Amino acid sequence: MSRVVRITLAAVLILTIMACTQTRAEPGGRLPSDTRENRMPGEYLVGLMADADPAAARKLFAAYGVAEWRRIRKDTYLVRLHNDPGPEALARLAKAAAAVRYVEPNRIYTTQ
Amino acid sequence: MEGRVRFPLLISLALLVSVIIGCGSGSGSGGGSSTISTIAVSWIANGESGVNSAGGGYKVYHSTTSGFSVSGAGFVDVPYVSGPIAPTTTNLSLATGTHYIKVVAYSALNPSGSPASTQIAVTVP
Amino acid sequence: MSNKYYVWFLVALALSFSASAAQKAAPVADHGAAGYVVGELLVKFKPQSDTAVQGSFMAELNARGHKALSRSRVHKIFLPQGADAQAMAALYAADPRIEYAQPNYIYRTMVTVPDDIDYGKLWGLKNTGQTLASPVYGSNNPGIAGYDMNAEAAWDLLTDCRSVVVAVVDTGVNYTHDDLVANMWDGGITYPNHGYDFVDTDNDPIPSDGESHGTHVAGTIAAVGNNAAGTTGVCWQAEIMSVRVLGAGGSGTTDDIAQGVDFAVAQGAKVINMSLGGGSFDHTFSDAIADARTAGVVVVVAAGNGGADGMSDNNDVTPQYPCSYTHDNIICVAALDQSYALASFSNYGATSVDVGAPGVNVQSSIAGVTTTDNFSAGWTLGGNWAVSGADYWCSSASSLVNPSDYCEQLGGYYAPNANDAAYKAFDLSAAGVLGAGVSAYVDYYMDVTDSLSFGIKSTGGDPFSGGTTVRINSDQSSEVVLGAVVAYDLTQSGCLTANCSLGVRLVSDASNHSYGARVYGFEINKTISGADTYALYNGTSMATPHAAGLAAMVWSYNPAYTYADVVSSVKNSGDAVAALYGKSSSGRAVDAYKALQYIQAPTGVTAVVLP
Repeated sequence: MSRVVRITLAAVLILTIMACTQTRAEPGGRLPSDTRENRMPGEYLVGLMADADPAAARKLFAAYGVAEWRRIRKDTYLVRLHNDPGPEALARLAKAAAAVRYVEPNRIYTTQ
Repeated sequence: MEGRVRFPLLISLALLVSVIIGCGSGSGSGGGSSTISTIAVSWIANGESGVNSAGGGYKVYHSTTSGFSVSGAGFVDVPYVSGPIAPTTTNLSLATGTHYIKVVAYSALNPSGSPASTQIAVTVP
Repeated sequence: MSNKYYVWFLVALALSFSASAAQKAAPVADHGAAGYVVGELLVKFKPQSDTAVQGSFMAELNARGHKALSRSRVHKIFLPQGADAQAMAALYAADPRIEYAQPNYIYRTMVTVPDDIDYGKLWGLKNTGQTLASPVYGSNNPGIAGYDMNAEAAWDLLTDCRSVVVAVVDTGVNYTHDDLVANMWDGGITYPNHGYDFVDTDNDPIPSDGESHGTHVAGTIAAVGNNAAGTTGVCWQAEIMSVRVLGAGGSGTTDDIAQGVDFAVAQGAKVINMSLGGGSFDHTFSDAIADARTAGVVVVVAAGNGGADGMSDNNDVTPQYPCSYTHDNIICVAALDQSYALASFSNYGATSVDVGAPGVNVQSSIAGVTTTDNFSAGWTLGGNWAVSGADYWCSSASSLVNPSDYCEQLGGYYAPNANDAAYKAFDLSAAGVLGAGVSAYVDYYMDVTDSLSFGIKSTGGDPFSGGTTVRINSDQSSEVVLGAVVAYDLTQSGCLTANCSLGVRLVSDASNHSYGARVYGFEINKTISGADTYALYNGTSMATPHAAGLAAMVWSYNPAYTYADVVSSVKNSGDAVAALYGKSSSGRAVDAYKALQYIQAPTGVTAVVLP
């Protein structure tokens, strides 16, 4: 699926306005989705220490299947994972790895 | 005739002495003599084009009272003369004691000038 | 008798000695470039200089006459024949009876009003109490005359900001727009399209999805001024760099935005405008802004539009980024309405938000044309797709719904085993269409095993047969979502054809259904070559470029300024506004004339007793 399509799909998830009007009671009583997740599914920004080896850092994510590894700026890389374990799991991974300063979701911003 | 001359002479001598004392430190004891020293004041050049062109410059304010307000205080004007910037140094002749200094920048467009710089103190021996 | 004269001579000597002992006379000034009226000197007396003192001062100058100016202590003194005002000003500069003496400088006093046709709508630059027709913000229209950026007085001093490149990091800019083309940054042969596109990763930041946001922002900064067309920017002449980081629907990601900031800095932009926001702290974004700061670049950002409910939020409580970053090269801008009340949607923050600027009913350039489709003609409605008017669950005049009774209060579930498509072909092939996008709102109640999808096909017919299909609802959980924005770049989809077919499809299995879907606000947005179109927008996005344009003005006027000086001028020189008190760090609305007039307090003062 192309990147543009994925971004717009994420936009669908993110740009929901929970209208003040009521919603109908769903079969099973399900509530409206929580659309606070303002990030691209499976995409994370990995900030490395200045002297770190990017190839070695990339291997840290192998368990999740690295679909893409791309340098964004200086010592920061974008990793796209086949299996997204979620930001909390990757934050733990970052803490355990001395070469990694941070792992954060690739977040979404919108026009104001 | 002698009496008429002596009275004005005494007045003018008293005036002379009090004026000389008044030039020096205002907080001085008033009785002793004080020396005048030269104080070199300098500051970082402002970036405004208006300060650094005709009609612009700085006013260097000084007082013997800490926290003084620049309006009403004595100052030396340091106007722009020529070249890329207005001068950023001037000399003050100040008497023995502690003096407080603030600098204000001004321009033709803004003659009352900038907020005053942070106050600094200098003690004249 | 000789004794008496001798005595008064001593007195005079004593007085002159006291004057010179306390202060050193200022040097005589050169004749500068500024013109001044011959024979006139302006003098402001100190409060303690009474009329007797004033009189003796003027007598010393051998004044031929004088005129008191209003009730200030300023007098215009008519000097004797041959006296030079500049020399007299220098001579008396240190006189303790006065605050200052200066020549009576000559200024061109023409009121600088540009001839742009829509200038009268630009209340933010000149508020005459005008009423904006067909407003997008209803309150305080008209507002209060005088509540504006005071642009006309500033334009007396400067209209050309070309020495300061401003990067618009946004949805791209239609650099062919009639009122922008002359003010675009020259990127040379490396960047012939005035910037870069990080969304499509190519050398052309034209909005290929028809999004107008960045074009509107660019126009507020620097629509060509005084060209008898459209609007004018804060700057009449400028260099706008277009950096596209936001795609269809106006959204973008950290990686593209950080690269966009890096690009702008590397290519020499001194001011970056970011009319965008999000709710989380990003190391990557923060680092990019920090590096911009190291390079001496000013970053002007939006305070935010109140989040999901569109009601003002306090950024000091719920941070909004990049506004809430603390780098000191950031200016965060709130939106004011025509009476300088805080706009109802505008975020604020006593610490995080810095200034306010006009942000409602802002007229500016747009990328081309937007066509709204109300589903009444040309649609193939398969299965249970139908067109509904306003009803219990649907407030818009026209919606595309499945099932057909979706909008009714007691509307039922969609049918099982459905495969229903609704679609229409659009002609996007006209010459001059540089880009197009579709955007719509979707409400849906969908079960996880059923799908709601959008389809695109460049050759007409059913887009779900041989086209591109994009699923809208989650395949991980059943959902109820209201007001989702669905937007697609049709240029990237290869759909700038005569029969670009767009549609929606609902597919259901045998089990577990829900209330279905509703599509509304369906628009085709086109970027047009040489566009000459404009529209009113609201947002802290619109307030931000008012401040960014001012930053460029201030820096053009004072080329020796540092980024910190520029930030200080924009923040500290503005007009105190009640609505911003306690809601911003400065409590002020930006004022262009005062910003040009503003002088920073001198720094680095030292004093050394010379031996």
